Amino acid sequence: MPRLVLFLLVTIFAANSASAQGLPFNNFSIQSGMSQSVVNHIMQDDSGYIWIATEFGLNRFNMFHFEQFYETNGLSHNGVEVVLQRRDGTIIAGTEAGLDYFDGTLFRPVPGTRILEGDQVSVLFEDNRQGLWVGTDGNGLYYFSDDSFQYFGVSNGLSDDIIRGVIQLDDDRIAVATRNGVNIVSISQRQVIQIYREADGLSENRTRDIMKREDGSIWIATREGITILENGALRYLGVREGLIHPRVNKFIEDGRGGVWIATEGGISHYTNNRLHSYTDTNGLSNNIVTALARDHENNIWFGTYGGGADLLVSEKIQHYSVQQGMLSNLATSFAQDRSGRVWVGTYGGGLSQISGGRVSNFTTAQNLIDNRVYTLTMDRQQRLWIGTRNGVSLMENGRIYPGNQFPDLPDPKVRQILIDRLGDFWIATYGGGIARYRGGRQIALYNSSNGLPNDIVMSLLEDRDGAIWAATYGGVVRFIDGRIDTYTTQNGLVNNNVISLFEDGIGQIWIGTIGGISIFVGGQLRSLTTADGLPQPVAYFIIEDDEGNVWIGTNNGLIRYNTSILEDITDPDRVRDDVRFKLYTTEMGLISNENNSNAVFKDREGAFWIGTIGGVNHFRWQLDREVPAGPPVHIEGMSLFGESIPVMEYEFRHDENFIGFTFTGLSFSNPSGVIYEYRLRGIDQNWQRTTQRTVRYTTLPDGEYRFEVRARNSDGFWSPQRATITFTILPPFWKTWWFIVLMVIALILLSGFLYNYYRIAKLVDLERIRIRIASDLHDDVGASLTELALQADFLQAIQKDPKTGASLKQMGEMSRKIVTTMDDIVWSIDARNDTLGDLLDRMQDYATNVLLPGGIEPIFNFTGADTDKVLPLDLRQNLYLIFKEAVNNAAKHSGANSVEIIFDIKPIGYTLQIKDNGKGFPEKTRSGGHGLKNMKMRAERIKASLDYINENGLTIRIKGKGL
Amino acid sequence: MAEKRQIAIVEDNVKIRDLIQQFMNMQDDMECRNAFSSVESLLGVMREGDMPEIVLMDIDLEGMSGIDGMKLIKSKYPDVEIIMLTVYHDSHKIFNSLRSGASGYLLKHTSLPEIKDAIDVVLQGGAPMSPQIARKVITHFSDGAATDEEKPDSGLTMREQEIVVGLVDGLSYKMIADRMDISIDTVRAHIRNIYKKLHVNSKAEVIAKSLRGEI
Repeated sequence: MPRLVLFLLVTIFAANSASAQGLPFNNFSIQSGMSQSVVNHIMQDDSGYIWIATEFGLNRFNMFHFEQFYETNGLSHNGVEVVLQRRDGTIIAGTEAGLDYFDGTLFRPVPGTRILEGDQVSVLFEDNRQGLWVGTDGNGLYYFSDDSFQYFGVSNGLSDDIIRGVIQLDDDRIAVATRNGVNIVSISQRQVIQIYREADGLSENRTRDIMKREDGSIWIATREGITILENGALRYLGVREGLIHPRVNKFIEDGRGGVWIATEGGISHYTNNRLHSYTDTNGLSNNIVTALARDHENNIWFGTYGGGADLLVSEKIQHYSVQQGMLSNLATSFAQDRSGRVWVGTYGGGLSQISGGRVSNFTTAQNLIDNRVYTLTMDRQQRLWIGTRNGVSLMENGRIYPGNQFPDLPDPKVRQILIDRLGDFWIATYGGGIARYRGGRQIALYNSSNGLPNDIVMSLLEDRDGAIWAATYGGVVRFIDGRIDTYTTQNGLVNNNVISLFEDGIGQIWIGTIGGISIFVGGQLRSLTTADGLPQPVAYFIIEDDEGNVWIGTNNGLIRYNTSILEDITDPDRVRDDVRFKLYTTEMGLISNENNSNAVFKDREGAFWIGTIGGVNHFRWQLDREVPAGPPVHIEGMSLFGESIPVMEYEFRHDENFIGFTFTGLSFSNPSGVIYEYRLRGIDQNWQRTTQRTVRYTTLPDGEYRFEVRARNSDGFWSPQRATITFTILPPFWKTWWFIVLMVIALILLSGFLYNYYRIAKLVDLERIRIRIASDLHDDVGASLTELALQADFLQAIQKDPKTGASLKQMGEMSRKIVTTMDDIVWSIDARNDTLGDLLDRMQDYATNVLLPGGIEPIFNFTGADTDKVLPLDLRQNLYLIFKEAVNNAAKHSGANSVEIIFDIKPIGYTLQIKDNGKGFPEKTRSGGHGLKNMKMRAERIKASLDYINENGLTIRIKGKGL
Repeated sequence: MAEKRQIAIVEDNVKIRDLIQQFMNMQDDMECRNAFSSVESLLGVMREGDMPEIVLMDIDLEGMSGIDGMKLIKSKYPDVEIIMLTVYHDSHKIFNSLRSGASGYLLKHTSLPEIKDAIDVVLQGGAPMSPQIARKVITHFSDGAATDEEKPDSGLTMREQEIVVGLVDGLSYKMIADRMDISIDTVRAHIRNIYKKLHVNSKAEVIAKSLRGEI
């Protein structure tokens, strides 16, 4: 019986083995502007936005603002179940009543999925051939590919109509998790080919999620833990293995080889075959976790049932505060004993011991002399010396000796207890200088009367050479070789109010003040201040990690200083900058931004313990990973005179010149660490830097502008693409080019007008009349003739007399012939069609029409023609008429059986030849006949020469200068 | 007798439109219920399901142009064949309309029996091609000056080239068939293929649109 009880106890302990330390969950809910707090799904799109689907409304989040979408924005239902970005980039949302896609502004029904209307969508999945799988909550599974679709349900073999998850196993097989087992579906056979249930090894039939991991293993979430299929074998993860709760809702890979598991009783993190679990006691906003997502920065998002969404930037920082059982949040000091327990001194809450994530306290009730602890020192015998506001207590083997260990202190406020290499105690007091003890007896007192610049001593340090350094509010002193060296602003110290001291791995002494840092090296003091880029001036503490980075605790965040970078260097290609200083704040998981003086400790694992006014950070910097991708940047808003207007390309009036832009570089791990560079092409060519997300321009002159912005994350990585938007401010009408041109033209016209009036009027009229006749002929007469021809066809079709038929046919043909002829004439007059290509087309059409019916074969040979070249009217007209005449002659008189038309165009000139193989020119009779004379006259008009060769038929040849 | 084939006309000249419509309705195997002066009106009845097999489409129209109308109809109802009707002999325009998806073109003064023949050819799965257009086809597929983007994916096969050359020479389908020793239907099928190769660009546009959910 006792053994059973023990067993039960062990089981219960294992099941609730979540330790109590706080995790930096950043919670977002209705208070933050989210539409609702019951989260169904979370997804990040490839532009970097986080989409949060809730029971009432869909949210798009940029870390500053929730854009909300409801039925009024086109959604088929306000209850949004799932969001998916398809491979083509489209965002689709499954709701309680259908499937919608986002057109950039509104949601609309996804075309071709009307069959889903009214169904509650539970799962969306796109396979590797862009087939879309839509699982519903009770109506089975739909598969849409191209234009076809296939339905799977209980009616055709699926084990249940409630779909919980879909994954792809290989090119043909899809695994479908349902409320009654897992189904394997073949895409090619379009049917269920296998079903797995409890009998086949599944831990429970009511599955809730299915996941294929990068290593190929399959994870199935059930109401009784997780079933894992790995290398052909099954294994299980349940409460017995440390899972926080048996009912598993979702899981996601953490991107580092582990898996986050969401259950109905908290979350478990599976990593290196171990489970770490967290619940609301660790800061989770609600224990029923319904959604999981991992963003591009590897942050994990937890959607909860009623608590909104929790963002976990990293597990690297764990919190201890009043919530974990400490008695005060003002942590001032730390120590660690041999067994690994960490001791925390607090101001007002006495001493806290942290062991295995649990907190226990020691106060005046346990003989502590005062609950206001300033400093802790562990000696070689594992005794803990506790400096308080009212003397020193000593703890040994877990017990505190009553009374003040140093009753003859010059001031009871003890800021530091230093035990030097000889075993002497140096005690820094706030107001009484330093007291030195040997063997429990005071052997020296150092204060302003005997060489100390100030009686307020904040900190002490023994350097590698055995010299003792003291930080005072009047400068820093060094006890060396029996003398006291004092360094103040007069010797180059950056500020006399010295708080902290630190010796780095290469022996440099770092002196932290309220106005920057001085570094003592080789007898010289070097300054590091805000002027050098230090983000904050106050250095409450300075410490170095095992990789050589120096960490500085300030009153507004924690600074990591990469000492291997000598200055901040901006990459000219804006890929990656060398960043010296990186500021860590509460956004990145710190419990508070305001640190306490000298409240830092490096434990045996090398991790930091940091005391702030809000509690303790256990900062495992080793787990800190840089985000090697720049934040995607988007211009999200524009304003005109302070009123916001939609983002688009505008043409503003000349007096609409007060324009603003709002933009966001999407970074969820460190949004305020994002630095922006922007410029307005058209007014400034140089990039300006800002940390603000809004830029305004006032009194912009007219012109064309392009606003550009890019962003950099706190690790120095720039956004791959800049965001741009162009706009124009129109000039006032008196400055427009057309106005100016108009004025100039008006002047010229006015001066020339009277003189030229009659001549110009006449010419203009002539041209106008010519074109009008041409187009009228074509449009009106042409249309009438066409009607006539069709009428003739029609009559011919409905009457029987062959004689009438013949004459109607003739009538039709005649009309068409006139239309063709007229078309030709009009073409040569009308200026509308005037390229060389058109001319060549015409020539080919004409030659084919005239020659072919007479059994003569036309041969075309065009070289060097630029068909898009525009030809002057007279050139085109005359060339065409010469050509027609020549072709007509060949058709009527030559008796040839082929006519070759050679048109050779070169930059220097062109040659057009019409060459028949007929009987040639009748030598005497018709030389200089009307046709030839006419052609020559036309050639002269276009400054071309025309001759003929009467040999093996007749060749007419026209030569002219460049076309 | 099989059901009558449905022909629609869009032409803004009332007389010409009426004549063609009446003539079509006189045919045993054709019916022309819908004759309109604008693309918009035709789209109206098509949207209600009154679907013609062939549309005779004027190019210059009030409102939407015939070429735009043709593209729209082709994108929504790819199975509807369109023959362009034009008064102009403007081969650029005509050729562009063919590349955008038209199955043929007719000059308006083409005689009514010829119009009917052209429709028959299209209905039988062929496509009418005049010598002028055949010439354009040759330049299109052999023009080294055309940019890579505009260049069609595939050129013409030897067979297809032979047929186009025949058309340029003014040979009838019958004559080409005799010359090449193939059937007239084969000639039609080849010409149809040549058109398809011309249409490649416009098809790609249709697919891209449907992906974006515009259709």
